[in-house]
Amino acid sequence: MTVPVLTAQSDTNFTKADSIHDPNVDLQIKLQSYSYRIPLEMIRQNFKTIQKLEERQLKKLEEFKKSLKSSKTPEQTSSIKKSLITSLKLFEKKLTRQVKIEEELLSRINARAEHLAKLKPLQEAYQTSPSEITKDELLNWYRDQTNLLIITHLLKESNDPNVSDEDKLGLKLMKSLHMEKLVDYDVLTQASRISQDIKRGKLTSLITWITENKTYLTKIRSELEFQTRFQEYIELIKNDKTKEALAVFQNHLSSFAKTNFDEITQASSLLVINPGSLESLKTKNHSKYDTHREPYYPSLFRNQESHNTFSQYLHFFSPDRYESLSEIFQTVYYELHGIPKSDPLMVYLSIGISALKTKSCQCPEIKKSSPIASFEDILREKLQPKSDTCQHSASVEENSTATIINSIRPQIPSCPVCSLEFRGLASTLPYAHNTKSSLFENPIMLPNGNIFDRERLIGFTRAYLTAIKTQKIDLSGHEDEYYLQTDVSKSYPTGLRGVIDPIEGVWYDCSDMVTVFPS
Amino acid sequence: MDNFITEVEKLNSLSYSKTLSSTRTLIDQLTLSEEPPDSNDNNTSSSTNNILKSIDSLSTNINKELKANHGKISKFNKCVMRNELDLSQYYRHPIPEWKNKIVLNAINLHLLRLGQLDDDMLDDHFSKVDFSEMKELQDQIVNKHELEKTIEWFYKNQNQSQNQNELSLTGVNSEVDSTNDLDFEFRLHRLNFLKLINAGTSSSSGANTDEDLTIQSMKYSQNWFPKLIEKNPTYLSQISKLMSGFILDVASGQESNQATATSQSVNYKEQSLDSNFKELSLLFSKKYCSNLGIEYESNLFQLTLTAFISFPNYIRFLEKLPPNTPTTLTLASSFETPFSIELPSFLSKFHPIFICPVSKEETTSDIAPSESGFHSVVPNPPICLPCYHIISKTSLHKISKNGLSSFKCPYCPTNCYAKDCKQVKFHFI
Repeated sequence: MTVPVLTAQSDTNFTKADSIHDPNVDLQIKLQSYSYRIPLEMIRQNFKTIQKLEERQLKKLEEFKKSLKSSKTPEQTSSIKKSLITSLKLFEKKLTRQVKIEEELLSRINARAEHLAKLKPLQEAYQTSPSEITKDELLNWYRDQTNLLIITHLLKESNDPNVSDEDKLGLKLMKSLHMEKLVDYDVLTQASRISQDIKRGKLTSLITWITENKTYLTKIRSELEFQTRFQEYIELIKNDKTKEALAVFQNHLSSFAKTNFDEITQASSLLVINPGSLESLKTKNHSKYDTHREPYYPSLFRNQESHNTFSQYLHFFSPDRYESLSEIFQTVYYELHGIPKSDPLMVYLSIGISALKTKSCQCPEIKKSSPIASFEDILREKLQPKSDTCQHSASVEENSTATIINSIRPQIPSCPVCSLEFRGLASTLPYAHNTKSSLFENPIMLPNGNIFDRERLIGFTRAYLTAIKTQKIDLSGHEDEYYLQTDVSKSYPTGLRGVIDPIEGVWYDCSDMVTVFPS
Repeated sequence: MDNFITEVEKLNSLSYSKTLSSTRTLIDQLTLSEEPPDSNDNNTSSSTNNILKSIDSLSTNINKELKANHGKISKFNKCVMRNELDLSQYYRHPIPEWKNKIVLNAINLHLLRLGQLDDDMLDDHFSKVDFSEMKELQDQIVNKHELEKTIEWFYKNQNQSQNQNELSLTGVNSEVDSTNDLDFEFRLHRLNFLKLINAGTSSSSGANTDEDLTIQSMKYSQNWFPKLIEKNPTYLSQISKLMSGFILDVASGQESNQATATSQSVNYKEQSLDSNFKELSLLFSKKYCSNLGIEYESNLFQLTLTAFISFPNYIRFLEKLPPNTPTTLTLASSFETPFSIELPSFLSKFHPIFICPVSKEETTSDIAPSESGFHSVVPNPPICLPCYHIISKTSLHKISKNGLSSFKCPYCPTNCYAKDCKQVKFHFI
């Protein structure tokens, strides 16, 4: 008995290396430039700190020199020396601390460069001796890259205040994959922590950060400090802390009179026009109005005139302002540290989906309001035995045909774009532009309009026949029985009487196969 | 690339060591001079002079190193700037923030394969999706060269799948299909045997252990190989090659300790065992995933890999455009990428693609494909003409004047009627 051969569709023949080597190393330097930019910006800031420290020390040394020279008595000299020792020790301590920081940052840059340098030999190995192993090792490099993108994404997105830093998935993943040196986790977590605080209406961490980075903020003329202080002021007024509000106004807001005059004027008016004062107005005039309605001010605006008067002030009290403040902060923070504005993982997913999306992909549009499938649902559906390949389920007999067919059909690699998890992303993205058909060697058509590769259809039929033989099912009366007989007459050059359609599970006579010409 | 690495190396010479060491010298000097003068009474002035000198040298070192380090940093900064690329330029079809949960699902499916999923993500319902077992066995194979547990795993799971469906073993056989059970079984035992004889012939300590191992490998081969040959006779030639190499090697080892290696014995030794184990681990992982019903590569990885491979197309495209040209990175005429992208075969064989030879448009299935935002695509399936040439439905409508008149096939002299044309569908099997 000859054993039928049916190979998987995917190309496992390695006579020629695939074009994975296309994205060359220079491109990867470009794509990863931000992973050098972030530590470099920190090195630059650290250098500025060192520079200031050393310049101050230089001045001090000059002063010490002068006083040593002009010292008259040994006692005086001794006391000068003592304070010089103290000053030097402090300098030594501070400088050592900054040097340590620099060493850590350098070690990140080195680790990244080392990781990058691994790519070239892997590509060369794959090109000179293409095999499953060299391919997999090359792909491993890209797997690492993907994991890095995931970690970075998770560190940016992890805003759940209930999860401690150590428990965050991004950090955990980074540690277990030993990628500490490849990710600027400290920079990213600080950003997401402050953003989270802002969104919860806590400005303390933001104000600390602003104080530390005042020089930079002034240099780029950022709105951030003004908006933060303004928000602080609004919050105090909202809570009826007029005295504190006035303090913030005088100490911080007033210095922005030149740049933000209009807002400062409005800010002053808020002392009078605020939810508290308007509330009292409301209870006087519209006491019967339902006070549970949020926000409270609509009740005041039955009268169009007062609506116009107050609305331009009342938006200051909206909680949305925290969202936009958080956005302002993030933009400034990312800019300062050289973090890309667009999350790299999202950029690659958007590009990758478009490159793979064909007109045959099924990815229905999802609405913002419709629920997104949970991870468990997706996994459950994936683990279910595939039953969609053969559409027959009417009778037991046909069912067994379907089972056999499904067991023989080699798994066709499933399309990532149409996958359960990604189709919701893919729906709004462009298609790949295809100029060449990608079909098979000898297309033949069956009467039902399905087109297959001739050799593979025959191979499939052989495998099916072997399968029913080994299963020893009683086939009497079943049409399988007829097709089991080989026929060596001239009308059947393949020895088969017919072929079975793997999609519909229906037999066709060999003479029904027609060669078609797609191009 | 090499240039970049050189720049990184140069940056590593950032140093404040001279500043620190001369600070230390000065401190030591000062501390010494402050100690109670024992014998040296009159070196106060010279000491002060020395101290003044040391202060000067510290100042010089501070200035020198500051200048040098500043230079190194700005040089590396220029190097990074030369290579800088603004990713957002290529992000013309952003993924809205409300879809982040979709991304998170995909991330979790990716992490599942790494055995890195958060513990509370899966309840007991999914206990069988345990990739930590896969990780452990991979480690056994690749790092410890131990196959016993994998063999155990194989027979345990093979029985399961056999109960479900006897065909997995006998139905389809191929030498190339890596998920094939029999082939995997053969490779497992072959490698285990290779490992045994390698240990037998390479260990130099004690003839007894050598012999034991030789006998052990013999027993192993007698135990397993006949069964495998029975299942698939084509293994016979491979096994006899393996055995002859083994016997010749043992013989040569007994005759003399010198390496009178025959070509045969070199044959199996030269095959690096290490790469054999790596290959097997890869096969095992794929098998493990297919047993679970999950693809070996996560969809997320396939998409990022595709993006890495297609990125040069985008860079070339934007470079050709005059600067500041607004572009959505799609063709003006259709909602498609502005260029075609060549991908390796393992990333491009998901769907059959048919380009209508008349309109040069890609055909769709008979159901409307995705409604892509404002860019809805009209269903345009392939149609087979009576002469068996295939064109798209829209082309057919055009040349047949909406099916009203007969027309000549664009590729042969056949005269066609719309009623004789048939909608078709391409399938990969």
